[in-house]
Amino acid sequence: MTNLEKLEEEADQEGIPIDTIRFESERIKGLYCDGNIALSADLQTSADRSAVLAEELGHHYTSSGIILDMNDTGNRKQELQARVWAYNRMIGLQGLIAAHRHGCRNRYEAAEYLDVTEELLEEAVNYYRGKYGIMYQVDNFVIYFEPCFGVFESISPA
Amino acid sequence: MNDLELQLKELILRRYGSLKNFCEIIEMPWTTLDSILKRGISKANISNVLKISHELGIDTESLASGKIVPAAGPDTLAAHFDGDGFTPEEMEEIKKYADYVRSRREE
Repeated sequence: MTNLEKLEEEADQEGIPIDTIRFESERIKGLYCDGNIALSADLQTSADRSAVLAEELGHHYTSSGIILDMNDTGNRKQELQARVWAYNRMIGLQGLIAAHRHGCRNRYEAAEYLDVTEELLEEAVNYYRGKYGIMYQVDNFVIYFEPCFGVFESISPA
Repeated sequence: MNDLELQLKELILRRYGSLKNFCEIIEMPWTTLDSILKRGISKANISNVLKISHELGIDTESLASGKIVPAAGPDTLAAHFDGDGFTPEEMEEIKKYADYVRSRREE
């Protein structure tokens, strides 16, 4: 099952209809309104569609109120919460490790392996960098965010 | 049962077929809804009133003051878009979808 199929199944289980709309404006990619999601018909790939759907589902779980005005600090915070929900749902630290273990050597390969857009992957890594700092250890893996991104497996002494 | 609660019950039955169906959707015990309808909205817990009004798409404040009025707009509305702000035309497109959602709920 692809990421998109999993998200669509989750929306269905939550009773959230997903409408595909041909918006006049190409800038509108998706909308969330009171338990309903609209996705732009212009979203061409499965990865594009799942990235937007994940964020709109993030709004379902984390947002409240009319959060269209991004000059409002509270709205920006809610927007970030929805995005973080999408990062964790679509990628997560375990996803970064899984991509490394799969042998992905660059952002393009990792995005393809994780079935996400390169843009979403980059945003997620930037978010994790801001949250965890230079590096973060998960089990026997160390994820470095600075000076550049990389995943290393620690070797236990014999 | 007072007039307001009777109207509310009729609205629920019309849209959801039974109080039980409605309770399942809003995840509220049937006995709680039954008690609210019998004792009155004004005596109900605010979180329960919000659950009812949110699902029915009616204005919570009006309900608390004894009237059933469609909610003025959506409770939660968010957009994924490229850029920093919307043009009036884009806001109109967003509003159009919110209106569509509301009309679908009222069907």
